[in-house]
Amino acid sequence: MSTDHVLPVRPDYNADPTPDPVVVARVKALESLLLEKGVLASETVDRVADLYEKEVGPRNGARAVARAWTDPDFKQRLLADPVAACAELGIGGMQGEDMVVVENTDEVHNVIVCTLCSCYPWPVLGLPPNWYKYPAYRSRIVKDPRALLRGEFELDVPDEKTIKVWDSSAEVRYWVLPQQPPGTEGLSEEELVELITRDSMIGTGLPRTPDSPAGAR
Amino acid sequence: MTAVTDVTGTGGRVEEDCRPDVERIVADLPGQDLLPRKEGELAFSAPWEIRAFALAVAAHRDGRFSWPEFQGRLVAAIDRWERADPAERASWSYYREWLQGLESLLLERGLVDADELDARTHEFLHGVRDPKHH
Repeated sequence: MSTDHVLPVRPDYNADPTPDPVVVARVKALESLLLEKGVLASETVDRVADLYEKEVGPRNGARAVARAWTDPDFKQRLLADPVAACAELGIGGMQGEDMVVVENTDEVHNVIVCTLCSCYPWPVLGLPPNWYKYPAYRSRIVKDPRALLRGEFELDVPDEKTIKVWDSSAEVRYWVLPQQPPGTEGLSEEELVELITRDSMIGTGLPRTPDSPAGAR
Repeated sequence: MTAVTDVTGTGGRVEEDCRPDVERIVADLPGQDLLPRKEGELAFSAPWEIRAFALAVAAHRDGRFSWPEFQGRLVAAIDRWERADPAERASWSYYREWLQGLESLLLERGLVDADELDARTHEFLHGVRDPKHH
């Protein structure tokens, strides 16, 4: 197997993050045809994709959260008008849908769901994880969020904390502004970004702490 | 996460199942020096790249082609890019070549039809297939 290709120019993979719409559509078309024809099982695709999606997709959301933690004025703007605040960071892609950011506090823990299907704030969080689409998550997170979070996500929300479940729709996508972990006040925005997981913005997890293992969601 | 029951279903458990396999595949990919990485792990710059990656790996895992067959297509696509004239080489994307390799293999095997693929792409491009709900 040849691995010794010599490139005339060392490519800069981060130079142009703007996806070519044709390529994006082509991949979607290929996936939908392969699934439709039964060439592929959607679980197989999702399992492989999930190894990477949980790191790449939520990057935009993590940037917004880290900025909110370090800049109180930005935080106010993010809570008041998330679409405009995200646009300040170059995060776009919402097409007519509204976005609402719900803030975790000492009193309230928020978690998002789409009970109808799988609406998800994809411009900030990327593609939804498999389980987000499963009927079991969609019904149980509404019926007994505390037990579900504890049993399936190992997230213990203290009894004195209220859990609010936000049901997204085609019109409004919710996502969670997690609380900054104690002891991280001195960290830079870039360092904070690394702590902010996808699940912490769904509400099924908390941000990492600097000493927790990398690779946690 | 270590969920093993219904809600997360394929969650933690399956990830552990398929990660070693996928890593073996990744370690064996052609053009290692071209493969975008960050801290040793594969680095993707857009969601479509992950989907394209996953489609090829999944099709292989579901027995649609052997991995060396796909590797051959990827090598050919990269070779073509390298031999193209400089104007065409202005932008490089490993996963563009990946997609091209995958497409050629699927078309040749008759697993996808070229006209159908064009038509479906057109539908996605023009929002016919991308319901607002997702």
